[in-house]
Amino acid sequence: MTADPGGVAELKFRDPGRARELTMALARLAESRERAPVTLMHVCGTHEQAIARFGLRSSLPPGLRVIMGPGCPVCVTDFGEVDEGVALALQGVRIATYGDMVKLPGSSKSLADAQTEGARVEVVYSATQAVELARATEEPVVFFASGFETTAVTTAAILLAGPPANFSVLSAHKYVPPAMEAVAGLPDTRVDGFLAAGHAAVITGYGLFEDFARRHRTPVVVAGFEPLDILAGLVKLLEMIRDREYGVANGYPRCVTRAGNLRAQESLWKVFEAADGPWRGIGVIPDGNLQLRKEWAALDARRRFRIDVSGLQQTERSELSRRCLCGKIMVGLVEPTQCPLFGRECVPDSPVGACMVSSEGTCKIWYQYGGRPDLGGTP
Amino acid sequence: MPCLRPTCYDLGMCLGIPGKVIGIDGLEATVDFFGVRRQVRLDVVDEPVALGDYVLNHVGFAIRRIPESEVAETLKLFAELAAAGDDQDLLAADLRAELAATRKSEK
Repeated sequence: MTADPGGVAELKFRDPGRARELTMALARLAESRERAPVTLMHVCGTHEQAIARFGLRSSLPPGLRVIMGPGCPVCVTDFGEVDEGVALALQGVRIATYGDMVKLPGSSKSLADAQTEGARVEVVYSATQAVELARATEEPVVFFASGFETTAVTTAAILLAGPPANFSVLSAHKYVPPAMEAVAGLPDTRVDGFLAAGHAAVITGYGLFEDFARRHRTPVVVAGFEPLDILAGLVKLLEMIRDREYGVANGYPRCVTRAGNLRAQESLWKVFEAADGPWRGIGVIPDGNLQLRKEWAALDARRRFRIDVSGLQQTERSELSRRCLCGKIMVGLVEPTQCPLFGRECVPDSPVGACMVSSEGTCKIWYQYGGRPDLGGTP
Repeated sequence: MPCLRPTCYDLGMCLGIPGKVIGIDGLEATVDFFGVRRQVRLDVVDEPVALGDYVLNHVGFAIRRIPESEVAETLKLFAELAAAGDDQDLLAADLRAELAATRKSEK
């Protein structure tokens, strides 16, 4: 099956009148700005997929840049975290993990490399499937869990539901709000407004961003994933910038509320606590990692197993991997096409950096949807 | 249909797909996704879910009840994505992964 281009066009302009209104509003707002260009950042791989797939950048006026920030949980999984998974796998422990994690390079090996050395690594699509694997055997099964808060709540739910004793979790879960904080505080990144990820906000609520918006004098708009949702979110951001309205607007009211999903938040914080931790390519993000609380020690792979990563971390990172610009791409400093490896040494089948591994990585999205997707509007 | 081939391993970490609740058994619901029946868990969703409700689902869990009046456009988009996507289409692949995260319905 191949994508039907006619279908894509129809989707993009399902309501052509509304799309035209929105792109005209964007053009007017961008034109009326004294100081150009304006840079808006979204922090979600699904937003980038939709922007690239539906060619939204071609509708942007000159002087308006839309860039992706650290919106890919697999991409920011640190080398050390991958090393832990690889070390456990090479020790003979069965690993269950999400598919994107398998090819993710560690210091010297990925889980895929461990597989070729005989380690047992199984791909699951949900935490529930990881628990089912454990139920079907007596031997230990470690769920190497990644994802932002939207996914972390499901890991919390299976722990609260009482998994079997041979099950444990190696958490690489990350928490988005502290990463937005870190990006907004970077001296080299000037972001004029943030488009917050709709489905993370389903859990946390949009109220969470109010203090952030005030402190950084940067408006935040929560947006859904449909092309018109995204265009409407960008229009709202430009209006708020024009009016110096440093607050939060909810552009996704059918799914997001101010308080969010309180039941999910309660489960999340019952199981996890925020901890400082390194994000790949970015550095240590205060409170950016979600680690299991002490009360869950029995189900925490880090406390349950002696994980020795020293053998994996002795080798120097390869010359290629040192030239990878993933870190700068993830904070919006450069675009994938500015990386000398993009599309040459680094492609989805043999990725150098994490951004080319995950379906939510900026580089993979740009590569898959045709290199530099419709950047007509950028300066 | 969920694609389980290696090229389809990608998993959108925040995609979420809408479906209609057609059965409830304790903490599990049978949900209709564009004609495919799957089981999803109700541990995470915060509002009481009833037959006929629409829910937004992520990695096998309902995370939010969506008012029916607001779901129509979303459903159309997802149904087309589900039908149109090839393996290179990341958004469509993530959608298939979301379906693969749900349990098959016995009934």
